[in-house]
Amino acid sequence: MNRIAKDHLPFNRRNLLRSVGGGFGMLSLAGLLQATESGRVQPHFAPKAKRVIFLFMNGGPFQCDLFDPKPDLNRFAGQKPAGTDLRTERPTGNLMGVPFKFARHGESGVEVSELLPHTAKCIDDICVLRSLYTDNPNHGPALFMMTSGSLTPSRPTLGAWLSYGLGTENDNLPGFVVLCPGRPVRFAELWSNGFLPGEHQGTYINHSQLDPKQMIPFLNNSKLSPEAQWKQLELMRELNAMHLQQNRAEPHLEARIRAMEVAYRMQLEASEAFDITREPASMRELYGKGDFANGCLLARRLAERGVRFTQVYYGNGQPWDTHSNHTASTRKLCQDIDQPIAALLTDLKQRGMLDDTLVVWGGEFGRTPTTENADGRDHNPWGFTMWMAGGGVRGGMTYGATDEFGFRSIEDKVHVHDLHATILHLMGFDHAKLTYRHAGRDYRLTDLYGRVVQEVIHG
Amino acid sequence: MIGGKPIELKVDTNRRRTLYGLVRRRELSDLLRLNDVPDPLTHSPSRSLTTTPLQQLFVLNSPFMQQQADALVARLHREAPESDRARLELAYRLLVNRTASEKELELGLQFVKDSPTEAWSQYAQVLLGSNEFLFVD
Repeated sequence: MNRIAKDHLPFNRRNLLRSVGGGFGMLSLAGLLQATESGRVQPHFAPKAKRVIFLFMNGGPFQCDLFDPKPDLNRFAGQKPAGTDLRTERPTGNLMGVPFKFARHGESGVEVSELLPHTAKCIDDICVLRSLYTDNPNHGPALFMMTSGSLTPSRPTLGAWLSYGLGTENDNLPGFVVLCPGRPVRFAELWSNGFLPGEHQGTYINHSQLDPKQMIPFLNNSKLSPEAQWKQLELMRELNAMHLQQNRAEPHLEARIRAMEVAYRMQLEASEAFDITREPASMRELYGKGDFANGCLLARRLAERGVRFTQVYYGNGQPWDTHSNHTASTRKLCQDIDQPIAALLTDLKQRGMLDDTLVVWGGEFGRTPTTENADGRDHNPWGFTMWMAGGGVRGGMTYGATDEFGFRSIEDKVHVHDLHATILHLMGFDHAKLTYRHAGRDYRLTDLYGRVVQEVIHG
Repeated sequence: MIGGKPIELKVDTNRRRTLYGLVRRRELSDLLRLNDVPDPLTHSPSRSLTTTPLQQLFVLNSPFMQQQADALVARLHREAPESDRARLELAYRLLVNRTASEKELELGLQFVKDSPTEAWSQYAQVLLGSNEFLFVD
């Protein structure tokens, strides 16, 4: 090997970028080489959260049904007052009232609708962000914005950035996992590694089948017993070691030898981690039935085992996208998510994990208070609700506000970039400094934007 | 054959270069995706090189590797029917273009003697999955 390609340099690219970006100047070469050995990158400052579980309500839920009560919406139902003709994906009609009652809950007294009674019990741990907004009313661009900070595809997604910045806590499992009982719209683009190295892409798992062998590609060997495979591995080890003797300068060879060991262990560990039938009946009952319940329980198991970022999509396609039959559909959707959300938060809390696990909930946008098709609601990028819990977030509060009909965010607005900046901050990163050089410039998740919402962070 | 229609990568009859493989942008083939195929939605100046456990799961467990191992074994038996030793020597000639060392022959003979039925297929898979074969020098 005469020429060494740039990726074969004996120091870690991430560490190089980190040290320069951090303004400390170049570390000594010896220092860099040492940092390379572990392969782990340090956060910019002490993180509050070590892992993220993102509950993604694909299709876009309507905030005024759930966390953002608007009495004026019912007062003026059937009318089209000034300010309610904001342009969304399609033309909408008059205001449509919300038949769900709100009540104050917990010690904090934050209002939650009757559709989410279990979740309401956990409200003191939840920070409701009422003033989200995004830049495009269509699913594609909005999904990309929520997952990767850009309206157009092929940028690295949030999970990929965290994997790139932090690595994984457990080598024997993928660090970025995506669970969906089907295929969300845009599919693999939503967990893409973009221009980051391929190892940071999300591992997609369709968890509608509960057998782990069906979930992870090539997890198990259909022909060989573990013992037979162990013998194979031993032979492989010997041959590779002999080969390595003559090729000492090649880091990839050793990396692959290690990766082979990990893969072998991963078969066992992933088979165990992804198997929710190993949970006691009491746990299964706590979370309830259904794909979303199973997804939340799986997410907790993965979080326990060091998976850095787990995204749980509610369903196949975009089930929250209620352009028609909105009210009846919303009842059903909330029934599906309410118990599992409360179970997840309670479960994490009981295991002492809520403090360093950041749970995020929301969709790619919200829905309009005005009606579509007389019984539906259109997409609403102007204002919607998300919430965060755990991981250093202050619970039992609301942040920001929409106008009197819940259409547009008007106070303490939180753009998706701001949400991303805040998530990265909680995970220990300055969002402006977690960068990667591509196509001649430094890229970051928040592009040129983003403000950390300090007001929702503990201490 | 140069030019012409693209072909599904996974199909058994595919003997063409990957350049002619059909790419579904949202559903990349597992083999390509695991091995850092650049995002087909955008330009890529070069391919990043990663080494991940998920790639090795493919090597250890995929039907593709099993089929290739079986095909190799069939060929070895066809072209070197005389003895295990001859087959091992041929395997090294074919895969890494050199004479196997005594140590390597010893390891190979030991392995295939331990469980005669599936052993050759498993051995072939080890060779096909080894660093020396998979990394281009």
